[in-house]
Amino acid sequence: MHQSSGIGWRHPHYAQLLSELPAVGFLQVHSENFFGQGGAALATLMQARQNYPVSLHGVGLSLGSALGIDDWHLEQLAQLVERVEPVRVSDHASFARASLMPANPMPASSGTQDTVHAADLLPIPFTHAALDVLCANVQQVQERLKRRISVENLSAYLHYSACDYSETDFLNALVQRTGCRILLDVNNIYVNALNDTIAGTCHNPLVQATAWLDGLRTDYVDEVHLAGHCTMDDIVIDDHGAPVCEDVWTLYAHAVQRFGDPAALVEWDTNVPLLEVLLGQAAQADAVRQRVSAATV
Amino acid sequence: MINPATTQAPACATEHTRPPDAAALAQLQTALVQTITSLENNLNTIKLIANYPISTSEKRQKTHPIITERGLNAYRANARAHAQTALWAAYPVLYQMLGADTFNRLARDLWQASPPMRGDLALWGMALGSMLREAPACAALVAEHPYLPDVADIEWALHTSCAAADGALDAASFGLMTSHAPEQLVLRLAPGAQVLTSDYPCAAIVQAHQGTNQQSDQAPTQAQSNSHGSACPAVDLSAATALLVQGVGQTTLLWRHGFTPRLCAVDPALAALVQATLNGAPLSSALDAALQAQADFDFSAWLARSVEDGLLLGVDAVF
Repeated sequence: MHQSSGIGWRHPHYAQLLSELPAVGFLQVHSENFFGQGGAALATLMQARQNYPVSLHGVGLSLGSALGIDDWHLEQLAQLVERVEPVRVSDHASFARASLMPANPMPASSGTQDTVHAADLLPIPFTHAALDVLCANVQQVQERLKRRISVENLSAYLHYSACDYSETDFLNALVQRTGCRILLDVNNIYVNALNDTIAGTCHNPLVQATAWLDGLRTDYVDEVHLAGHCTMDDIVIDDHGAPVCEDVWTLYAHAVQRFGDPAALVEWDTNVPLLEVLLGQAAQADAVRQRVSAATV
Repeated sequence: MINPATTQAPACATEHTRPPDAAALAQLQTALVQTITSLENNLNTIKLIANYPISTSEKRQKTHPIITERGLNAYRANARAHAQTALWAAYPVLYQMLGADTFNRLARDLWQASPPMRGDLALWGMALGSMLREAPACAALVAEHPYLPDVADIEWALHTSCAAADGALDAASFGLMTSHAPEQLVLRLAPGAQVLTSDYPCAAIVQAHQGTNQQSDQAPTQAQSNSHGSACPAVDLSAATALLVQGVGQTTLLWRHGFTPRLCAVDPALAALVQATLNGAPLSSALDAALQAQADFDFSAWLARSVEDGLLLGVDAVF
């Protein structure tokens, strides 16, 4: 049995968690919120680190950017990793950095007046060229950090017509070439399937999402993310603002069975509930794992 | 468990689309980022993206022709939310002064004019003061409230001080003042120390609004009684307004006391002393600057007070 499930630790819960120190497998924080040389935020994280393992989850490395990695960003992350000694370091299979000069999109490893960071997790096409870029960037990060990182699959609201791989084959190839691991976000897979359903290309989101899981190599996943989403009239948004839905719990059970009980994390980033509610979701994840593990023994 | 045999294959390449090479990938990424950071619903940008292999598949477009625009709108909406939240975090006083509608419009304009360059949104927003001073769209607002750009500069300085390297009081170092000449010493100031001068009473304006806007940048276990940190007597809104009516300008001293950002209106002597120190001047030159600004400047009195206020952390022997 793996350690207990973790929670995404956000500002509204800083004081209560440090005061009550509830039983939690690990804390996940967004790396960028703790960049900088000092201050209250970093001190708070270091205080938490005395009591919990910490998983550093980035949202800004832009691993899929054709411009390459921003040296400044990587250096900030490296300093934070050195301070925190996290249990895992992760970011997304996405891009955000691009040149403002479309006629001259040359590699730029540092932020300049000509580059922009869209502050979002934008999808990359599953092509040979994009895989080359992603692998090179992941490798650069791993070499600087001197450790393996995990790369998370996206919820994407745009799809590219050009691709050489399915998403899971793309991620499998990423792991094979870089030695990284996959941070499997089950809710993201389900949100994509729901949007495909709206688009008319999916008839059963649970079945499609399950097939997605079955396309990923069984030994490549080292963390699973669980979260809620928001269903609107014509789109489903991965807003991390609701409880984990029943279908995602079902998918999680399938993931536990398939991927050998990786560490699980419940994220809740908007409409953040009481800490007790979040802890209840983490306990539910533990219960699912125990049930699946018992059934497979 | 679910039977995956009935699932569809992932949507993938069609015969009439070719995977982009590296250069095309870069151009595609530029197009998408520019479209999203524009924050506007512009059909031309969607057509632009459609010229790259970035739109939904042919099948999807036929099935659901608005999904490309809907997806872009989702990213734009997220960008707008990021802009508002990030700017609010850095400029809580301006938010109070301007109200949500005007402030969010500024956030949107700033995102378009000066989009983030780094993957840390806490670093975005520095250009707000410049935009208020220079952008034609802000001219009417600033004509009515000419102190806004200077207030923005103060808030940005407070914001950036929050992540500055920590500093701790080094009481023993003050012993150097008995063994070294002022020419051989440099004052060691607190993290984030800055001096900003304005033709308006901006220290009072910010302090007055901070009274109803609690900062939340303290470590939970290290909260201090005066969370905003004014080292000066509290200023209420009516007092700030009176100074504004009188045409009083202020020089604002900012620093971080522990984890708490602080600010205070200071006289020319103290401003000169701190500015000279920030410029790297030895204590002797800093004192000369202070005495030039105000002949009766009482360094000894200031020394004790500045240590208590967390502005002065120690003294270094450098020569």
